[in-house]
Amino acid sequence: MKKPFLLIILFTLALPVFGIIDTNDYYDINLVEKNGTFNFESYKRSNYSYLFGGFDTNGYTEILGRMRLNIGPPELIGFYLVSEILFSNSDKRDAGGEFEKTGNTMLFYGEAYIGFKNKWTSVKFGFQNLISSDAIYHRLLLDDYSGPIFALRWSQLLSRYVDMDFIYSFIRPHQGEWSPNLTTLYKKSELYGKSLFVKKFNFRPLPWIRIGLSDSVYFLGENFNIWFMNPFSIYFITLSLNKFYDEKFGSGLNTGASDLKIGLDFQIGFNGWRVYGEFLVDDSDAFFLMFKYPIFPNRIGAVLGGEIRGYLFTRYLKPPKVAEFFLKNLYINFEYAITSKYVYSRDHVCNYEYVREEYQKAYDPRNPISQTELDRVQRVGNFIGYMYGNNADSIDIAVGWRNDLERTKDYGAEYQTDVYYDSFKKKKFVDRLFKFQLHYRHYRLGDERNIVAPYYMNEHYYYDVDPDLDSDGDGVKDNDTSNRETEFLRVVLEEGNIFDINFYSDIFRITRFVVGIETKFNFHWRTRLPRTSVESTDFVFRWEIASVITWF
Amino acid sequence: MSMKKNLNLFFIGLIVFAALCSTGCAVRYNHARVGIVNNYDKNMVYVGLFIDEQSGDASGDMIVKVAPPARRPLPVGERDYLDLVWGGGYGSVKFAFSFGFYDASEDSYNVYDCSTDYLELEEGDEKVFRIDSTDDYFVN
Repeated sequence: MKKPFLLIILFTLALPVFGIIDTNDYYDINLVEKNGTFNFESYKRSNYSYLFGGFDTNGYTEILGRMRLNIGPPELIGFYLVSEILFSNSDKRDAGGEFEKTGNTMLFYGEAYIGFKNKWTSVKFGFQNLISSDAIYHRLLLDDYSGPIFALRWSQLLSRYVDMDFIYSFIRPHQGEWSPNLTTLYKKSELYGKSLFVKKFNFRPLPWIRIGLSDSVYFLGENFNIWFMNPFSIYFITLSLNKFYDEKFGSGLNTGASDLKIGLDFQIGFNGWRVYGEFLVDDSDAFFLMFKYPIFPNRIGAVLGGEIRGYLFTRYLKPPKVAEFFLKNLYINFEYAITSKYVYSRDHVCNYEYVREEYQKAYDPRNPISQTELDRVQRVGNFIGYMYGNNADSIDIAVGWRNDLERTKDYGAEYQTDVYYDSFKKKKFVDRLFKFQLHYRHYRLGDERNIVAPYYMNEHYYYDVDPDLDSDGDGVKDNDTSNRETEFLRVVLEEGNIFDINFYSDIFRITRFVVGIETKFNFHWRTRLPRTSVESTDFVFRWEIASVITWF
Repeated sequence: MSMKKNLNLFFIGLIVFAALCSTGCAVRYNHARVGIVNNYDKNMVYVGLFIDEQSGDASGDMIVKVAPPARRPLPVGERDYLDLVWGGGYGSVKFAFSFGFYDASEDSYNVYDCSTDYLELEEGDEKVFRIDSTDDYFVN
């Protein structure tokens, strides 16, 4: 018994021992790997620490440790606290500042929130990973790929047929005076706040059918906008009331820089199969939400996916015992996501880049920014929604096996009615965990994925040269239409293939502590200017290995 | 047995046929590369003006796509390239550069100060615009 104890102490001292992470071109820290059903967390193994090593053929190396604690004191039933901290040292990342003293080893935070939950309600407050649908890999309104966001989330069961989900999130705090005219802020080099408020109602005609409708607003400036706090408001109406409030109170609602988004998503399935989807309409303000104004092409995105698990079949086929054990724990999932050109792009007056960090000056059409700067703003992982941004699509397919599959929850947003129905299920915890997954992704990035420069500036060169241009000659300058229509990847400028092999196995267990090992082999082919005479493909192989301690 | 063999051959043939068809139907794009050389004595900013097959003919419908510069500003004596891609099966497209030089009196640039004429580009073309002054350039 001595040896295992020594190993445990060694691993604990070497905190946090590993988890498999993801990297983008900019080596941003704390990107959340999209592993879906393969994911770490399964019921009570919600605490873990790991030590990770990553290496690729581009010369990338990283040593990373992470510890995640999920503490729920028994004296305070329902209350819990989640805290994540990590350290990382990568020669591809310049941590800078204070971290120069630590030899470029930087410390960073992950999720950190307090929560209260029971089967009817759930409240979380703090930095948390948020997603906007039950999809496995990609979500359009809110995706957790690039890490946690500071938010208050309240999920409430209203009846077995309806639940509601409110998210008041601050993407970035407002720093500086508030002005509806953001040019003022730009000139003073101040950073305006970014917030996303989401109100969502999920309807369940049957326990296994969920249809969600969301009404959300992404707004700039002061993060606390009282007009958007009302949980029973409809943002379309709120924005439309601006003039009325201006007359009544002597000032408008400070909602001038607001971007409405409406979403529809669904999940249907039970006992080992499910299909899901999300549809997003993104538009700059209330007037353009109704698809009536041809001056703007529609800005939309969609996700469709599904999963099948082996126990759906073995329940009926009754194969031999060994075959049953293998087949019932096998799963396959598939997902397709697509966004149109101009989704997540900015409005013609204010700046709506749906990214965490943007080009920080007012866009000057007379001195346009370079492609390099555009690429930096639009990098994968910078978007609040779909990780690839606009005018892009992706297909994900995974086949995997895990011995606790029947007890593994669907990867999802944890809406309250799901929690309610899940509370009736029997739960057994496996003593040993073994997981294996093959995952393939094909993605494509289209042309004019330019969210910084307004899209009509992209197309109407004349507008820049002569802002008073009345191209249709009807005497009204601001109603000129475009012959551009809603576009999906008409021309593809980059496509990529990612194939990864994931493996995890428990090694030994002592009381509630389990030591395991996880590894991933990642193959990434990226083709620039595909299907042209000058196409070129880069290949990068990345290997990751982590030693893991989990406990519950 | 032979029935099974024939069935297998049929399915294999079907897969090969589908693969060949999908390869044959694969979308192809046209590509041209345009370069710009700053031969003037001031730093320059530029954008590409690109009229592809998406554009309508009427002036109100005309789409001029603005291609962002690769570098900004472009120092004296240096060059840049832009890659242009348009739909396969379409013939030529038109392209011009709009550019401006640093104005020390206003400490600013105006990329729309000057422009070249539109040049017709075909698949595989590589053209370089050498800008000698605000109104003098040549293409090779």
